[in-house]
Amino acid sequence: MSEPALVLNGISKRLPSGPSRRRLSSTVRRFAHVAGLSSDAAPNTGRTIVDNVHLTVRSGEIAVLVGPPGCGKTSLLRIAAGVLRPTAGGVRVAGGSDSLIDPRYGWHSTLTGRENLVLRGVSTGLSVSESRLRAERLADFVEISDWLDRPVQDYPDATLTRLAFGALAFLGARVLVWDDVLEKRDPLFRQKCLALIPTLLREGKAVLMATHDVGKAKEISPRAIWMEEGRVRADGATHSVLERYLEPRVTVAALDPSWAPAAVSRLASIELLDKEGRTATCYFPGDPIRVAIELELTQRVDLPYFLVSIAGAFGPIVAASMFHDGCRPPFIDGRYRIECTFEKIVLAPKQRFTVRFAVYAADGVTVVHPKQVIASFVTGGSAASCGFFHTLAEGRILGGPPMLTDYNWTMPGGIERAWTAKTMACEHSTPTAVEDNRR
Amino acid sequence: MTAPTDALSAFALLSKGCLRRELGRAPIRALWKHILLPIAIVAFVSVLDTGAPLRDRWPPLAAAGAIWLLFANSVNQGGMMLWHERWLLRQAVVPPALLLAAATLVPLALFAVHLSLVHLALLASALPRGGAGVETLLGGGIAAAFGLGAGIFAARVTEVRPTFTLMLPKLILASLVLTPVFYPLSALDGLKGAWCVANPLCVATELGRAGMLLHVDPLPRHAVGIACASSSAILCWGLLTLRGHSFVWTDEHV
Repeated sequence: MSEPALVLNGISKRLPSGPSRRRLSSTVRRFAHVAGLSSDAAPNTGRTIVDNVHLTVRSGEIAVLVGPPGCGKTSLLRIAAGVLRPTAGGVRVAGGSDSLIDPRYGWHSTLTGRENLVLRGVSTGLSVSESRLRAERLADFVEISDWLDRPVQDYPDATLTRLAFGALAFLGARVLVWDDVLEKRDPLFRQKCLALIPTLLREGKAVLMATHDVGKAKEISPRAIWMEEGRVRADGATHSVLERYLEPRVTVAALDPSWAPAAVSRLASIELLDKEGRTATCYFPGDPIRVAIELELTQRVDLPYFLVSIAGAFGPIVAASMFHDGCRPPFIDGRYRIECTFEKIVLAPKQRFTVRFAVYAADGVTVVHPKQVIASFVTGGSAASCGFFHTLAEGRILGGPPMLTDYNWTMPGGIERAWTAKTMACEHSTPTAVEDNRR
Repeated sequence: MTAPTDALSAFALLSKGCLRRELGRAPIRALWKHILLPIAIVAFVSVLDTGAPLRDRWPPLAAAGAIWLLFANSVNQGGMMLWHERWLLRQAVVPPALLLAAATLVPLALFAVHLSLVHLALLASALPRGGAGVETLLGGGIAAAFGLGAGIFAARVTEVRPTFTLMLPKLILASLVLTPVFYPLSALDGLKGAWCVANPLCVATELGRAGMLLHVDPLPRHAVGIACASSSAILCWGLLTLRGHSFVWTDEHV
């Protein structure tokens, strides 16, 4: 077995607590931070985003982090890359690390791409001549030769991302910390990058990567790590971790335990309901999604704006917003229950979704309840149960778009095939059906 | 980056980047901002002053102005480079101290240009030139150290409160009013001693004048020592904060 290249030992990260009423102490603390007397501008007593994570990645090994948005994947990567200071725990890296988390990181704005690559190469232990040589090679690979002699500040976002990937893969670092930013920014180029992974592993590099694309995770990595609420829920063979990760379920967030000092409202209850109004245990494609929320308010709020949205791995996909429809209660006070039902929404099977909620005051700016993930669920069903019977459908639907919609193909010979939500065989949304699906 | 040659290569690249940022990217703007505008201001203020013959008015102003500009450039292009290039520092590609060292070359290069211009002008006017160059260097050293230290703190404040970038030019301009550039140190009268202790730039500008010209106001006793100590202390404190913390705070302010 090869030696450990990246060791994360008991990593925890807590966010600084929000603005407190004790303005003087927070000002003094900030002043002390600026003066170099304290390492943090605010006490790290806020929400825990990474909780006691132990992780080892060996040379020539790749580990893929999966988890819903906001589960702490990127924070863990930032800590592993040395970009974010952990509240507790230690990071050990053998042979230098490089990271692609935010493509803007690590570039001198007025130096050219080539000069920046030499600077980064030198910082990872390469000689100047070797760095220059590799800069040429990587420019060919990432197809930015025309840009290489221009200052980095002139680079468009996609070009900068390509340059950042090139630096990650081609310069001297042995440990590569890779957030899958190419997923959104440059999907075509991403395919080329993913195809390079076996070569990088053969060179003895260790890769820690985070992605929302579970379909690709299955293809590129034999090891997956499932993170949930800052903790490692499962670490092992990709197929078994993903099987657990994509098990159909509905999870409701913990309720606000106590009143925060400056809070106007707190969540008293959250329920996700099925079409019969019972607590949902699983949603299948095509099921209506009902969200019931009970708020407890300390003061009366006139004409509030409620927002409920459902987000997939790449961000919100549908939203019920009183900013759009203007349908507002005259006032809310004490305990207030509201329900929102999303009808005719066909979510893709075997995908994770989160439900977000926020309330604003009549001015539309003042926050009554901050935007918060109140629940998450994994849809049941399969490609076949949705009427997709092609041999590749089951694998491809994993990392595919989060919503399905009616469509048809028009070809020279007329309509060859159409897909409509009505043709879905997925007419089951009971716990029994979940069991059937698992079988 | 362990070998000294690596650090030297990185330093050379960073210096190139810093010089290009301030001078190379927009040379006409740089010429206006760093040469023509200061000359225009010195000429304008000299014409306004009616107390002495024109021939005697501009040299003290130019000498003190060069020192004050070194301070202002050390803040803006020296210490504040840690903020301007924060994306570079966030990935820890280079240590902040190395970037700061490279950035310091910009104000020093501009100071050399300003000094040369003052000396050329004195030569052309056939005015008597002053005493020891060491006094100019000492004055410049105080201004640069004070400016770099203040610039590091300005960068740190900006990270915590980004709107500080809007306030910084006003603060630098205030320092121009609080420093005897447009007026002689003797104009402060009874406050002279206290002012020199409170503001190291007073001593720096006077030393600059002494280095370049013959007639200068005598400095209060121990003023030079106090100014050297206070500007060094500010710079050292700033450098120590670089050593203790990486410049990655914004991530902490989610």
